[in-house]
Amino acid sequence: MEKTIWAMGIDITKEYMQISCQERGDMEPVSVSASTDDEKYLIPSLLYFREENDTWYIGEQALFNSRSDKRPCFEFDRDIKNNLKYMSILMGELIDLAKKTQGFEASQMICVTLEDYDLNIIRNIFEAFVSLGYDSDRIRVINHDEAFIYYTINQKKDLWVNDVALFDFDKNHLSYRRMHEIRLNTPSVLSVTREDLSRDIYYHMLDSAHERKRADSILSDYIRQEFKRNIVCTVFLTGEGFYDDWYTESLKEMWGSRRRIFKGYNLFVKGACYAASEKKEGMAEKTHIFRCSGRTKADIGLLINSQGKNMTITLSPAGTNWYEAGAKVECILDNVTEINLVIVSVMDGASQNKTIDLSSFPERPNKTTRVRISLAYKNNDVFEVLVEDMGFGELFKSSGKTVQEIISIDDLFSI
Amino acid sequence: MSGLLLCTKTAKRPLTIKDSGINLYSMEELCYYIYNNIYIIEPEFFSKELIEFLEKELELEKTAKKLKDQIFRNESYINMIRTILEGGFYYSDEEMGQIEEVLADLGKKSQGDRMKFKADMMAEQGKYEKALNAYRSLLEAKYNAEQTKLLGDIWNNMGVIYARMFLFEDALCCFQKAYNMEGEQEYRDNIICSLIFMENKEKFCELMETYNISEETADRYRRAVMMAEEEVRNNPGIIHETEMFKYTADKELGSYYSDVDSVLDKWKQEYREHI
Repeated sequence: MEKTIWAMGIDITKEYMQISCQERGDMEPVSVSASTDDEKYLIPSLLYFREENDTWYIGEQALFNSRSDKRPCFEFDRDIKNNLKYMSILMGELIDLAKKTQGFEASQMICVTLEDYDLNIIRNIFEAFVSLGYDSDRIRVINHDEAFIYYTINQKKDLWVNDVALFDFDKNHLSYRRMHEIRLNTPSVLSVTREDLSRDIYYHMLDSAHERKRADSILSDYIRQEFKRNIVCTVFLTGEGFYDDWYTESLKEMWGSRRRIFKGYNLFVKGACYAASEKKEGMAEKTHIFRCSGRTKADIGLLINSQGKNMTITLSPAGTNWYEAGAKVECILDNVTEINLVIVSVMDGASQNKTIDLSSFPERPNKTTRVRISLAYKNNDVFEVLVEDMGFGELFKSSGKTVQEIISIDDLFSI
Repeated sequence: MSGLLLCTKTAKRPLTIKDSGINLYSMEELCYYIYNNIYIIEPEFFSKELIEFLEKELELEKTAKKLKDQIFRNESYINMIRTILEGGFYYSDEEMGQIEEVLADLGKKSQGDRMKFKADMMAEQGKYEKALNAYRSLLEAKYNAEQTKLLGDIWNNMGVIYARMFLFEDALCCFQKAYNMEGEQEYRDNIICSLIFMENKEKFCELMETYNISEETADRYRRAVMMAEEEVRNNPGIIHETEMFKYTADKELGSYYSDVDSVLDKWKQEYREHI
């Protein structure tokens, strides 16, 4: 019988890729090794095609063959992420690797996590999986902020009863993230703030003893200040920058009042697996609203009348992946030549109204203009509203006119 | 109430209205159509096709079932109109209140009145031949024999149709019959205007005496007709069409013929719609 696993996570950074699998919804995700003989969980983000045997390779094998052939590999950042063909091949190879090592045939849900993404990369990932035979409903793309949240909230509650800190240190950057839960409303808001510390501490500092000490000093100062301002109960350390023990002073600051400290390499990929699992069940996002990069910052509502009652319908809820946060609705204009949006900030519940003028639409008898209102985000802050005149069936033909408005949530709330 | 009404489902397969050929795709369109044609909706409108449309295309099972039960119980079609208008949530409570008055009035209207409304609607829509046929049927119907006001209006409306078709002699004949039924001023006005458009001096003098039209009155009407004609002559649409028929040396012959053809095609189409 074909074995199907519950969820699969894929983490891709500039340097490395990782895979994790969750056999059942109630089990912890496990990291997938690139080799059956050895525990090699970090797969170099490389793709190579060998013409001689008409075969694609990823990771260490790609690197080995490319060196043998003295030809360059395709790198994720430079060559793959904006190229649909290479993206499809890469995803196919990663899935095949997971299938071989874990012994399954299919995964119900797959989530890919990246440091950051734009619409083009998201499109390429979705289209890559569709070309491999997956329904787009089974695919998810999140960033590291979101993966951090998913990982954390799937740990025991005492680990995140207060704020949770994450230091992510690799060859390209050192970033600090802090997850904070705002419990004023239900559902509560899980907010992630991020700070880039790469200007002060960078990977090459670890090459010399003197610089390592300096890096440790800078980091420990930072931690002291930061943990004075915020109540942090757990610290995660991830990335190859933390492999060696150069940060003894910093560790003491982290330890502080008996904080829990965890070091590992697979936090994001396991977070991706949890995210895939949650999408299938839809639970996390019913009990929490995510407030981080990649997620929408406000509820977008529309004032309407339905079956004789005035109400606001939510076109797009806050905390949604912005690329999935679009909506379409059709309404009839009743003695109005405008539509009114209600935008409510997820952070403090502040509300702003936005009116879109439709007086350029043709004049018709009342209630004979049907409009289609489409909302689509361009990123997690800016969304576009398109209103189309649909006419009224064969009774009044559509004029084909449209009105478009682009709205920035930050500008609206002057964030 | 005003604002945005949330639309209900749009049908993949529309409901086709037999008389007009219009396709309706939603409950909102159905409600609008019914209300705006309320005097010409007949019991046959509430058919199996309508019920299937409500049930299968619009997924309004409750409204469809209620309608089915009303048909089974042989209820008045006015109740069925009410069922649909209430089921659509297209009209507000206030508007439904006004509609109830119309429905009450509809209930009092005779068959002749309702058929005349239908004929009037066809005339308004430019379906002249159909309207004339409907009016003729009404004139022949025995149940209308005593209703001189109704008959007068019918003859008058027929006259208006003939006048719009530039058949002024036929129009005059109808207006005279209308005036003989009921001596309405409006019918007399129409007689005078028909005479002016006919440009038949003998006839004009003969009927001036019959209908006691003074020279001053006649002049006044002539001036009104001249002003109306002037207005038409200055209408931008008319000017544009007139210009299209003028060939000038700067026009390319092919495009001139094409312009003329497009105007003629438009007129032909309008004529076809009048039949």
